[in-house]
Order: sequence, then structure tokens, then C-alpha cells
Amino acid sequence: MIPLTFFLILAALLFGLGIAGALLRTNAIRMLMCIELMLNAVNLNLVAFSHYITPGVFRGQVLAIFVMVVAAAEAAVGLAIILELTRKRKVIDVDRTTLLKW
Amino acid sequence: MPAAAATPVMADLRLVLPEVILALVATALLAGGFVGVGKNRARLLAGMALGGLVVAFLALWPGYRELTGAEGNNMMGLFSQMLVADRFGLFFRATFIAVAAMVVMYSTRYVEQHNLPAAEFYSLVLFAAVGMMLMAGSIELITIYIGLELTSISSYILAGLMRNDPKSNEAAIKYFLTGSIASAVFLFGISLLYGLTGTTNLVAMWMVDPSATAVTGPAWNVLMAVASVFILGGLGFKVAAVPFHMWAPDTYEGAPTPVTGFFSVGPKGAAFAALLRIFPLGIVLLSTRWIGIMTVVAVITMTLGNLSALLQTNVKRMLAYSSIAQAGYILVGFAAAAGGGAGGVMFYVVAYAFINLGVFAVILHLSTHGQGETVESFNGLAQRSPAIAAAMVVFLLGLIGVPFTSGFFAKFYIFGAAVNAGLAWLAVVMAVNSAVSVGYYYVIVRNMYLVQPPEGSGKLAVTPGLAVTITVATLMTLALGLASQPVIGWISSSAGM
Repeated sequence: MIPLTFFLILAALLFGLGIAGALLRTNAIRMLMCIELMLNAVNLNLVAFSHYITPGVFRGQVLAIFVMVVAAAEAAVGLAIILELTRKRKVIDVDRTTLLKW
Repeated sequence: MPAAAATPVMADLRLVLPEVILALVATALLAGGFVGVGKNRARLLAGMALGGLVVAFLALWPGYRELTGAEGNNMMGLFSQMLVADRFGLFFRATFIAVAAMVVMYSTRYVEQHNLPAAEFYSLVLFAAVGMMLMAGSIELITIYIGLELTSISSYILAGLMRNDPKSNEAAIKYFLTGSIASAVFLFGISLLYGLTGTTNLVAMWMVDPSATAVTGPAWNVLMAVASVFILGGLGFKVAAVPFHMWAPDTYEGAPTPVTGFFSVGPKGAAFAALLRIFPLGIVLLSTRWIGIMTVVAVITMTLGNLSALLQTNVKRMLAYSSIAQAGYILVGFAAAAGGGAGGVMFYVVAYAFINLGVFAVILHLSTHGQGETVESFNGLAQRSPAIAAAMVVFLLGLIGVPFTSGFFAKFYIFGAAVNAGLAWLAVVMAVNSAVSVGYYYVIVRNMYLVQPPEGSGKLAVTPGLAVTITVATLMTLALGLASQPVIGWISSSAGM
């Protein structure tokens, strides 16, 4: 059986990749994708913990399902906001949104 | 912890009636956006939202009745511990309903003037309020997360609601991107906490024996520290604590003014409530370490907030930094948890909520007359609207923490807690910071009283909604400053969680 540590390392890598991308990229869509990556790393963590640490109790899975639902809602709102930005200002890079000091 | 007895669903429902009512009214408001087109529709929707909030406030009564009989902070688990009814939660839920009601009242004219979509606006304020109430009324990380996201997602939309203003859109996108990253970080912390303790219930977490978990020894300590830093980071973002404050000035400046006022007290207060739940219960075993972190964060947050506020000329941006500084004062309460800081935090949040909503109501009063963006727009306000200028002075004194205002007691309790906890130097830093803050608050008072109003400007008419909000805020600021005893009594029976 694959040990828990493997799952945790994978999740940590995914999360690191996500947060690095979200902080370093300037394209709003890419940042959104990186945020999704972070959330999926969390889901992997939750399901792995649930399976290995509390077998038979589905708290982790339940939380993971909630995370997916919320992520979908968040993406819907986020894409709408980004769409508005590209429509009005013809930009998608957040470092070019400089009406307000960043 | 109460036994996980299976209570009938209806009995539980009775205690979360306020949330249910608000969620239903919020949904009905959205539908109301499609019905009718008359020019009075916006006002009708505002009235409906306000009515819903009043009913929700009254619906807190069964919970109040149930809890006043109980001793101490008795927690009643609802829906298999997904929510709890306790004094702590009731305190914050009542505060959040009041905050939402004041926001609805002071926004009506602004919504009409700037052609904001009224149905969406009021509905989102109510949804955000439900999220905040869920955060405060739970000891279950799943529910706290759902509440946090309900508040956050509503807030992102509210920030960008002024669709023909590119600044509003920019505020929304910055808030959304940084906020989502913070949520993900918070969630990662939760997942680690769950893995380490095998539960998502904070009370169960509190009772976990670290030597009997899957990970033990030094690894447990390290992972626990990582988890608590992630959770603190995620919630620290919501309260705009340094170094997670970068979004606040931009979002506060760009968002519609009533929304900015809401952000500065609503989601922020809810995040403080969640921190008060999570840290003393979930991460109690690391208390000595997170107190060190909290101390450093508190000192940097208040100092940076105050110094940056001194440099601002845009009022909303100045208040953004002022609210960062206020968050720093509140964080002192966390660092001084050992000295009874939790009660200080609770009092501070409610005192600050009324004061800051009052300040924003005054700014909205100026904005109905096309002003209110810069500190110069306060010029001669004492002659143009004497009563409102006087109220503004009360609010600013409250923000500084002058005696006879609620702000004084708020600071006083946190001071006391810091001294009790052996962190007297932290109290001194706080006092110095309060003195620095006089610098930028005084500019507004000077402009109101000592500077002549611009040529040819007469008296400014005040709308009923703003008049009521400013009156309520003033009364609450003075009442909590002069007769804080009932509130303190309630807090001291609930903070000892």
C-alpha cells in the first residue's frame, strides 16, 4: 500500500506550485488556475488524511466536497470579475491595473 | 463539551432561525430584482432587507432565553455539532445583524445615486452577514470555512458592483485574487490540523492527546506550527494584518463607499471571531509559540497602519490604514490571551463596528453632495452640517480612544489584558500608536471646525437613512463608553471559553 507520506508530499508540491504561480504570475486567468491547484492540493490532503487517519469517518471527504463546491462558486465570480476587467480595460495582466496603487 | 445527543431538528432550527430568515430574505431580494421597474423599487428592496434584519434580530430571542438560564459559556451543539449556540456566538451574531442593518440604512441614497443594482446589493450584504454569523456560531472547521467563503465571495462581488467605475473593478479583482489565495492557504492549514488531530471539531481537537495521534514527537510540533501559521495567515488576510494587508488600501479606495464601510467592520469582525474560536481551542497546545507570533504581528500592524495613514489624502485610503492600525490593537488582545484578552477583543470589535460605521455614514453624507473623497471635502463641515460634524468628532475621539467613548474602554480592556499577561511594553507601544493616530484624525477635525467652507456652499441636507445611522452610531459610541456594564457582563460570561 502506498504510504500516507507520499500523498502528503505530492499535495505539498502541488500547493507549492500553486502558491508560487499565484504569487509570481501576472495573468489573472493563470492566477485563478494556480489557486485551483492550491485547492486541489488541499483536497488531496483531506482525502488522504481521511483514508489513513480516520478510516470509516468521512469528515475529510465531506470537507473536500465542500471545497469543490466553493471553488466552483469562487471561479464563477472570479471569471466574471476578470471578464469585466478585460471588457472595460482590454487588459488581463494584473500588474497593469494601476489606477489604485498596488 | 455537551454530549452529542441527537436533538430534534426543529429544536435546533429554532436556535439558527436568524440565519435561516436572512438567507431566505436574501434569496427573495434577488428574485425581487426581476419584479417591477418603478423608481421606488430600490427603496422597497432596502425596506425588505431592513425588515428581514429586524425580524432576524428578534429571532435571536429564543437563543438568548435559552442561554441566560445557563451558567458560563455553555455550548449547545446543533445539527451534530456543525453549529453551536453559546453566549460568545450570540454576541457576535447580534453584532453582525446590527452591522448589516446599519449598512442597509446608510446605503439607500448611495445605491440610488450611483445606480447600483439594488437587489444584488442588499441581497449580497445579507448573504455576507449570514456567512459572518456562521463563522461566529460554529466550533466546526467545515462550517467556519463555509461561512468564511460565503462572506468572501459576497464581498468580492460587492467590491466590484459599481460596474461603470474601473476603480471598482480593479478593487474587486485585487480583492478576489489575493482573497482566494488567502482562503486556499487557510484551507491548507485546516487540512493539516485535521490530519494531525483526526477531527475538524475544535472542542474535540482541544481534547486530543498529542501522544496518541498518528504523528507524534517533534514532527507533530513542526506540523502543528506550520498549520497554525497557515491558519493565522489566511485569517490575518481577512483582518488585514501586516504582512497580509496589501489588498486593503486598494480595495477600500476602489470599492463603493458603503461597501468599504461594511468591509472595515463586517468580514473583519467575523475573522476575529473565528480566530478567537480556533486559536484558544484548536491550537491551544502551541499557545506559547503563537502568542509570540501574535505579538510581533500586532506591533508591526499597528505601527505600519498608523504611519501610512499619516501620509494619506484620500479619506477612504486613510481609513483603510486606520483600520489596519485598529486591527493591530485588536491583535494585542490575542497576544495577551493569558490576561483575559479575548474579552477585550470582543468589546473592541463591537465598539469599533459602531464607530467606524458612523465615520462612513458621515463620508456618505458628504458623498450624497458629490464630495467625501479627500480630507479637504470636510472643510467647514461644522458650519454646513453642525450636528453631523459633532457626531464625527465623537467617532474620531472613539477611534483615538478618549474617555467617555466606547473606544476608550475597548483600548482599556486590551491594555489591562496586556499588563496582566506580563506584556506591559506592548501596552506602551499601543499607547504611543494611539498618540500617533491623533495626527491624522486631527486633520479632519481641523478641516471641519477651523477651515472655512468653500465659497457659496450652504447647509447640506441629510437623508433620513443617514440621520438614523449616525444617531445610532453616536448613541452606541457614547452608551458603550458611559454604561458598558451590561455588555461587559455578557462578555465576561462568554469569553471564558
